[in-house]
Amino acid sequence: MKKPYIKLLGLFIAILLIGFLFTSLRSSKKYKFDMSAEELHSELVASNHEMDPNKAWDILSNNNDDYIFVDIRNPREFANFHIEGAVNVPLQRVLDDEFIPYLKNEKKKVLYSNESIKANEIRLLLTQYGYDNLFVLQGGARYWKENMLSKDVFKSRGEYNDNKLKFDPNKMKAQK
Amino acid sequence: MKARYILSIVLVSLGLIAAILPQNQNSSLELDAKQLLNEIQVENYVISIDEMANAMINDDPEYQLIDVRSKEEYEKFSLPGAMNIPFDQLFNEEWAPYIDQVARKNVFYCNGTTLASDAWMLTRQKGYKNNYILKGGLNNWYTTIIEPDEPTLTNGQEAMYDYQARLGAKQFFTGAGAADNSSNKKKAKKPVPRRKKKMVAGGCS
Repeated sequence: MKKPYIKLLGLFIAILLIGFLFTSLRSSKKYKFDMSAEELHSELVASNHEMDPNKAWDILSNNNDDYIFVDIRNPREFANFHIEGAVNVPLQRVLDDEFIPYLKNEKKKVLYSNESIKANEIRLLLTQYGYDNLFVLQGGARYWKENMLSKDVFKSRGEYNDNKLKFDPNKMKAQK
Repeated sequence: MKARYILSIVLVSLGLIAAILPQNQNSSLELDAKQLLNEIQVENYVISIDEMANAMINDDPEYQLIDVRSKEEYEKFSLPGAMNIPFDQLFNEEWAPYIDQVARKNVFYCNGTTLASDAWMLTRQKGYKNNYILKGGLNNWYTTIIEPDEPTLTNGQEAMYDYQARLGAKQFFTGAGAADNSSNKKKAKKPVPRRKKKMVAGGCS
């Protein structure tokens, strides 16, 4: 008379276990964000993580060890041209385990893409994901190649400011 | 008899699992890091200057330009028909019906690209759809529409068509036909709420 109860109890526990295993697998937490969008928003309003090309130039020429340059373009573009000393972490693989040592460390990481938009988006993604000390090289590889490495001494190495309006709005009216 | 026992045990355990499951349905809308990374790669959230100019000339109601710069910058100069949602107020309650809706294509823009791409990243992570970025922002707008480069023969026929369209657009935005910038600011279209308002709980209404 005792045995059927034990069998039923075993069945009960087995179903519970399978059920919990199934639900926990479905809501995989591997790629869950650390920070809410609102928290990231307040961080973006409060602080600036843009790196001026001139500052980057100083860092490189002083061999400043606190910084590491991270190229998020594809390996072909990286092989073609990259900033001296940069490591290549292709954009589509930034969340892969093998690149964690490059991105999660004490150093200040300066991300760059061809321009700055992709690097900025990856910075936001990784910041919300829980990484810190990430910066975005303004102007990206294109500006670096055309202006910082230019042999033309007359070409300006002026500041690169994405947030500045580069034309005079009044000119639009004057053309009437 | 035994079958009944087994059935009841199965039902009770399933009920227990259902009772303990997390109930936050909202979070299913939000994207995780992998999903957001996929969207960054697909890159179908960028609207070109030519597409936007064309939509503005044709007064296409599908597009709503959203200027995410400060109020001062917006008042000094903005694109015709754009509404202003300063980036630092992005998640204010009053803007929710505008940035979380299904009726129109919102096109974020700033001077360059950073602020607009910030706004897109934040709203997309929260699961909002229909938000886009104006490629290159106002600076790109100026060099494309107001001072377009004349294509050479090697650029091909298509570049020539684009150039002609840009010259037409320039005429539209700066020429005699264009109204003064201040009076040209249309009122922002009415928001279309995504979700129905919650019913008042309790009481007799």
